[in-house]
Amino acid sequence: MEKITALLKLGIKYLYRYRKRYGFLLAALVFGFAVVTFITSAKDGMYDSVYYSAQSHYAGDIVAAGYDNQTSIGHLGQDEISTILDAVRESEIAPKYTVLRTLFGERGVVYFNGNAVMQKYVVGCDWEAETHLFSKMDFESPPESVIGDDGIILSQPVARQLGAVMGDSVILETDTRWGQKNTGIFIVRGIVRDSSIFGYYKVYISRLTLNRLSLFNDGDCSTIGFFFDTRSSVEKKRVRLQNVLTEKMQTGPLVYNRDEMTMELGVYWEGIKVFLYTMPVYLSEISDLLGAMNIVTYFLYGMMLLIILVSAAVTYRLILHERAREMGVMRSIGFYGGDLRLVLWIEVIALGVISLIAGFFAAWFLSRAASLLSFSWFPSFEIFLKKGKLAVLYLPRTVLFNVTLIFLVLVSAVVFPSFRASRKNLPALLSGEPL
Amino acid sequence: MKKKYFLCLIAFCLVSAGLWADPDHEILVKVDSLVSYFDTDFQAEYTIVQDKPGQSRSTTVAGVFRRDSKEQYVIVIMQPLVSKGQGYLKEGKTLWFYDPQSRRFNTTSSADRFQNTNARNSDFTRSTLAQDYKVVAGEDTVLGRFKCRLLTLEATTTDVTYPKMKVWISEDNLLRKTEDYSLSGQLLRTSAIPDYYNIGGRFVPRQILFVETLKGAVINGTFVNEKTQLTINKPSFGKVADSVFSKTFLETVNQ
Repeated sequence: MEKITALLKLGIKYLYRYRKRYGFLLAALVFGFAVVTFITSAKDGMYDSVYYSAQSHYAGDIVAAGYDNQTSIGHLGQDEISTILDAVRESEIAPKYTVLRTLFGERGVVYFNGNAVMQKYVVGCDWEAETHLFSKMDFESPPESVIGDDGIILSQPVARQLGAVMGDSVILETDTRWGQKNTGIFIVRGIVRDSSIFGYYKVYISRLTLNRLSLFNDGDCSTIGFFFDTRSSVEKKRVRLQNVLTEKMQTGPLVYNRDEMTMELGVYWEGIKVFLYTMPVYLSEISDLLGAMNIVTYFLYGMMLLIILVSAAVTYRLILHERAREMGVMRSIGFYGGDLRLVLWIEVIALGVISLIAGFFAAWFLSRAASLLSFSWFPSFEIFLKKGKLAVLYLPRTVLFNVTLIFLVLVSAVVFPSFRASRKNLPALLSGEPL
Repeated sequence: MKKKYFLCLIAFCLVSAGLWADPDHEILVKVDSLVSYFDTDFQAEYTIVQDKPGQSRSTTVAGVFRRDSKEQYVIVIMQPLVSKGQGYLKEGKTLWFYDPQSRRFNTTSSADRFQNTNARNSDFTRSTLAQDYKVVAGEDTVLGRFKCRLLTLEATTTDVTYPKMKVWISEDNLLRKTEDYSLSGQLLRTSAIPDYYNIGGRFVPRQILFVETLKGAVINGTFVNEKTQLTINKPSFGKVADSVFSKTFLETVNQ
């Protein structure tokens, strides 16, 4: 142990002594690791933001969506709702929250003072059951404690276009389930800051009211969402629920991306069919986009690592060449070849650790700087932002992968030269023969 | 003896039916018959001027071809240039919209706005008031220079855009004004038809004015509603080629 401590100290001292030689390598490592850590953590943060937005928008990690082929709209009656909730109990997936929503899409219009704004989503929700979602939202005007069946929550862009503020009375036009015009008068009881593609043209009203506007029964809904504590086992839970549900009612097959989803919805069926979706299904196109970004990032990282590998190999050979006599002296005073190798490796490992720490801090500063930037000029980029800012996420798996790559490069750059240096015979070393 | 009873029963039924026949519903039937052309095709040029308060006016010119006997119509947009070549084809309950830029047909709804104006796609089809609505109230009234029967209607089918309506029908059984309501009773749109062409006993509106109740802007302190005026020019009756009522026609009409 004493010997190892001594070798460790020696390695660090050598690293300090040859700091000018190692300087360029250190800079390259810090730069490479900082850039890659920043990009990959930003990418993970962006996906996390999208996932959160989608989870909030679709209301669940797993969403049971019912489609009525007769009216081509999302609808679950009391029987279907009971069956799904029974299946959830039976499959023991134990959701943390269960949320029922009625959805009306694309043809809702909000009128105020002669202004009309067409909505992409009209969401009917149970205010109390969705407290956990509303509490996470960023409100321009905090919602009133009791929103009620005559209250409406507008998105900030919609409120601005309408010129409506809290307490104003607006008219919401929707269609009944059969396509006839229906309207309701609502009081603005909250304005939420959400200018993402999910939330730009979106209003929330009570599920009961939307059911009545749509001519559904009071307890009906369009989707049932299930929230879980962790995302890791969501897919397994979906499969378990699907297996139980298939025996009880008409279900669609499990799909894994948007294309499959569209294809399955195009198939003819009679009555109500239930599909189980997870967020990666809804977000498959965004995942593809972020996946492409990941590929580009790692391609750039690969290029950087290649440069680092070459520069590390050249620098290291140069350092070893300069230190050949010194190593010869060390061998003559009793150092074994293995000890020498250990000193050399400690130098490089210490170099790697320092550059990783420095690189991580540089990435952190980059992400802080990026969070101060406005991305409003970038159309639809809001979906990737958390509360309007670019948020990074340091996933252990991603960071570990990046660290491993750095060490692999370093090790492959130094392992062979260090072996050759440590195995060279003493006269050759002392005579300064090339390694 | 049995025969006597049977004849009495039939006579009773006929008298009852006559007594119970709703004269207001009969008016609706007449309204529909005057502006429906089952024995011939119809074509005309429609000029649609939309007036959004505080904004410039937009004008759309379209060629309209109707074949009521088969529940068909075709509309071809001729102006503005940016929409030229767009078209609609209605076959029964299916309404197709053709976009020449993408060269694709998409289904659209009769309830949708026509070219983002205050007219709806359903405004171009034949009148089916008697078929789609029941009269829940009727009263005599005066509308400008017309003595009218004001009827309050409720939809009997789910196929219509507006589940409630009020219609003003002049003594010559022509529709002069309508108010379109949502299911909850909110007035959404008012339309007026002051004048008709009379072409061989068939009636065609000269102009239809649509006033959107909920859309508009405050100009000089007064709320001004968004309006769309539809003017029908060059109406004619006569056989329209079968090929006009097809997707191919829309695809090739501007080539």
